[in-house]
Amino acid sequence: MLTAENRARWRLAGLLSPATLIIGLFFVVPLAIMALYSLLEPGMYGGVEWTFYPDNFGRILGWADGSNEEFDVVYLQILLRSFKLAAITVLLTLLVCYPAAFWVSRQPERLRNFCLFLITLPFFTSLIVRLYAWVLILRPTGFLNASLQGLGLIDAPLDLIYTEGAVLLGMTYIFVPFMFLPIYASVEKLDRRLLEASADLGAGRWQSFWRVIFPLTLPGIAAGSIIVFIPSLGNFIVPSLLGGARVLMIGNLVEQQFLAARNWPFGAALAMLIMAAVLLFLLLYVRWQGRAALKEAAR
Amino acid sequence: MPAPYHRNALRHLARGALAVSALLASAAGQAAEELHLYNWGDYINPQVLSRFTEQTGIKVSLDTYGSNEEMLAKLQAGASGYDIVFPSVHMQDSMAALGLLEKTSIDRSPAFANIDPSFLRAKSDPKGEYCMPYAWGTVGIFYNKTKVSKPIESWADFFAEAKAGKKVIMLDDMRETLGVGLIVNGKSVDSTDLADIKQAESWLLERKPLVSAFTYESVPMVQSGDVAAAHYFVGAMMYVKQDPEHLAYVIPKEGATLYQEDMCVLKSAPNKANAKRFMEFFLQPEIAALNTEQQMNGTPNKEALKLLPAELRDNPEVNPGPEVMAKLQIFHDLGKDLKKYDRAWTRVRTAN
Amino acid sequence: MSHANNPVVEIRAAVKHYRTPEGHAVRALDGVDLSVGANEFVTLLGPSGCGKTTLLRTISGFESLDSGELLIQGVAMNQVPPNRRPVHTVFQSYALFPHLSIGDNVGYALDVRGVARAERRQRVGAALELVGMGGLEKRKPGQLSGGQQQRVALARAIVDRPALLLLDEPLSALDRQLRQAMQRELKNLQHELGIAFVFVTHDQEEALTMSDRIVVLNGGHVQQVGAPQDIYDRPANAFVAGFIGESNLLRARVESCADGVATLVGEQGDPLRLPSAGLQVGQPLHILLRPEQFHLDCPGDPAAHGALDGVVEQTVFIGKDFEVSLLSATGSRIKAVVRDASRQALQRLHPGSSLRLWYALDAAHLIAGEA
Repeated sequence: MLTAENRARWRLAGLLSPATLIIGLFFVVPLAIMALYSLLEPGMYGGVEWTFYPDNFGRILGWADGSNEEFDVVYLQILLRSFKLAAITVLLTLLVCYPAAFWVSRQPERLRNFCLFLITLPFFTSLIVRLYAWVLILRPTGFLNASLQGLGLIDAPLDLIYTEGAVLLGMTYIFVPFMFLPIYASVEKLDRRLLEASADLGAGRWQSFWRVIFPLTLPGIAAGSIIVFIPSLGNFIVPSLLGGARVLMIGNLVEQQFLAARNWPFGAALAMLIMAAVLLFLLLYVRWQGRAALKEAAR
Repeated sequence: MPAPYHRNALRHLARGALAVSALLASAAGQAAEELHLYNWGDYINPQVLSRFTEQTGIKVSLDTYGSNEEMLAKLQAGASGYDIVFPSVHMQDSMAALGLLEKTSIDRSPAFANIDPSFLRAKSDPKGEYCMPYAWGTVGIFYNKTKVSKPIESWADFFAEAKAGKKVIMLDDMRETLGVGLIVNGKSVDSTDLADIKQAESWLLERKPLVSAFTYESVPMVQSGDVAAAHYFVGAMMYVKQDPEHLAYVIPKEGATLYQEDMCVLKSAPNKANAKRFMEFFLQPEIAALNTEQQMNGTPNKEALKLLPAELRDNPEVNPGPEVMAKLQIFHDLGKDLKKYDRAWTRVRTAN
Repeated sequence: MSHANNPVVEIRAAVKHYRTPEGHAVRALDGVDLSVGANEFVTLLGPSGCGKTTLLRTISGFESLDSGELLIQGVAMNQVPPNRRPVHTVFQSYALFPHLSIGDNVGYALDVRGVARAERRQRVGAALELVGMGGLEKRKPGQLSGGQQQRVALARAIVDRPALLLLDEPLSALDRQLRQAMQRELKNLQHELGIAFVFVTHDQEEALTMSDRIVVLNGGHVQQVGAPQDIYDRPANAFVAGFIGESNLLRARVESCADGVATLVGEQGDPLRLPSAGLQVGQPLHILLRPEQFHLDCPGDPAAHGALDGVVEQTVFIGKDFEVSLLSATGSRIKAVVRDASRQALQRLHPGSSLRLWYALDAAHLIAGEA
């Protein structure tokens, strides 16, 4: 006999099943395969041997004793370097987008919409093509150096391409829209009257910023930072094209494992570790958001 | 590893267009017969395909890949529908071990006599019962003559220019780039001796500060003079031909690697008969020559070689004499020892 | 009233132009003078667009004057930014900081000035107590009703005892009952605090109930300044008369003066009698008669009263009183509120009946003007 509650539960399961199926098929199953592979022995020509093989992780985290695999601190270094690049990218895009969002939100509606259109415009062309355009701009005989030399500002071309600066420029460039949109949403929602109230109560510009504007736009900053951080962590196209691939990013390393090194399990293990790190960040964010929501709900 | 530019996005677009036009051209033929090629990017003259369709009415489609490993990974992941693939020799051996290749008995075709037997390099297929040697070339140095103090002849010259402040580029390729380290130290590019690999690693690490970039995207940079010299394929001769005053390609004195791809039919091929027809079509000297002329690389087809224009046939950087040939090394599959290269390469790429 | 001696705010010849989105220049303030005394409750009253909000925002510093002078406590304020003016505002939208607790909202002005936490807590508590919201420091604004938010906004603005409190239609979002209660509370609070209030509203009833003085504004000009009673009984011009209270405003011309009584002829030809003091034959006038100034029967000496004849158009019982709409013999429409519920009276008020309405001669208020 089905109780009413049970029936309701079954009906709910029925309604949810297409969504469950899609999530299962396109998210859980591949993830499970990857988790499984990360614990198997690499096959000779790619693929896997079906034996348990924890040394893929041991190679990164330290318990590989050299019998099968050797621990090398280089992988943690690469991971750390990728984290650093992602964090700097978040910071730079934030520096660009935060003031820009305020400026755009103050424009008349038509100009505002035009600005938003401009910011989303890059999405219409291929990322690689856009980055290649930067190669053409930054190379020694490129647009920038030619212009500066034409103006007589410099004698010899500056070293722009294949530098860390070029990588940061490229990363900032491609991730600006991802940071801008969430920040803009929170800036636009900001009630200008609250700023008047703040000034009216005696707060100077900085006081108003830190006490009112910043906390009220913090959700946008947090959302933007996460949206930028996660893909920048895995990005290797920019370091390759603009940085000359002189340093390996975690994304390159994973690609290298699946292709040139034919070591799928090790690639899977690396990918699992990145994912674990990202999930950790997300969890922190969700908990922080959840606490805020809980506070809000506790009326 | 033959394809110049094979990671270049712009070329990728062009390749897509090429595949489409090949399909369109073949649509003129009336037969519903089909053939699906899976090849490196820019590694076959499109005219070869349209001529084949003209003659046989068989529609040809072309998909491309950027590396042997990419091709194998796709096939292992279940990509199906391809008839012919173009693995490098060591990859052909791996694929044979995995049982992916179909026996074609192409060696029984009369025209197989056109093939120089020294190109039957695959250990798994010494007679050519499975695959047919397709094309070959060297990996050397592509440079801009106006940017160097004297013509580059060796890796020593290459790094001397770099030391003098010129920009140089090496390939973003594990075995090729470590291979340079092995060659200059007189070691085999197939060495599995950790000491050899370590030596190559330190040699590269020492020079890493001199290398501006590790990339396949060096052709436009050398053409414009933004970069003085780049580690590159003989396919660069295509660009040297357009601008011989400024550009040059050289096989370094220390030696170089040699690559060769073979034309193989997959066990899973849906159109095996058409695939064999294509192989036989390609054995014709004029067709092989048509391909080589456009590709500016080497051909294993003796008769085709005779048909090539003299400046290509007699060019020592493309078709070197026996002395230089003796210094060229080809990669073999290393099995599990590949890991040693992976580790060394990761360390080279991680150092600052 | 002490405003003449030691004004908290003094504004002289204030002019402010606006440009509309269509590009038209609008004079929001056109030579406004105003002075507010210590502990005075001054209301700026007028229809929307009259300049009252602009005037308020000029005092708070969110608008600057094109010309004219603004002094607060004797100090010129034209160049002083809002955060350095000794005034606080209670905003129409309340503008409470949604991310801060009630306590932090109220303590904001103290916090930005660096008042120590203990003292702050004590003063916040006192301010909340004063508006009847004691003990709610920990809540967030979103957890309060509109009326409660209103009180918190008030507490926030008075916590550090500014010289002057500006209130920008603060009651307009409340329902009628709550609004009336708040009107009384605000008035009491103002007395208790001894702070001058400048209150903006378009609601004349609110203005009449609460103010010490009302400033009626229209088109960027001050129309009249005065105590509520003055403004109601003796409006300075036709605009004020029409804007404040229900009124019958009749245009007329003095025809003759005799025995202290002038006879006038209305625009439509109604004969009207008024005290003749100060009137000259031929002079055009507006005569203001409030609806409640009419009687059904002459309440005393007929010589001291005037009368209007007409036909009842409509009678509405509005509780205790009847509101009568009378069409005079000459076509003027008169509105009267009368209190006589006898049977006979009811008959007289029946639509279609002829009716004579009486008024005391000295009840009529004259406004000079062109006929």
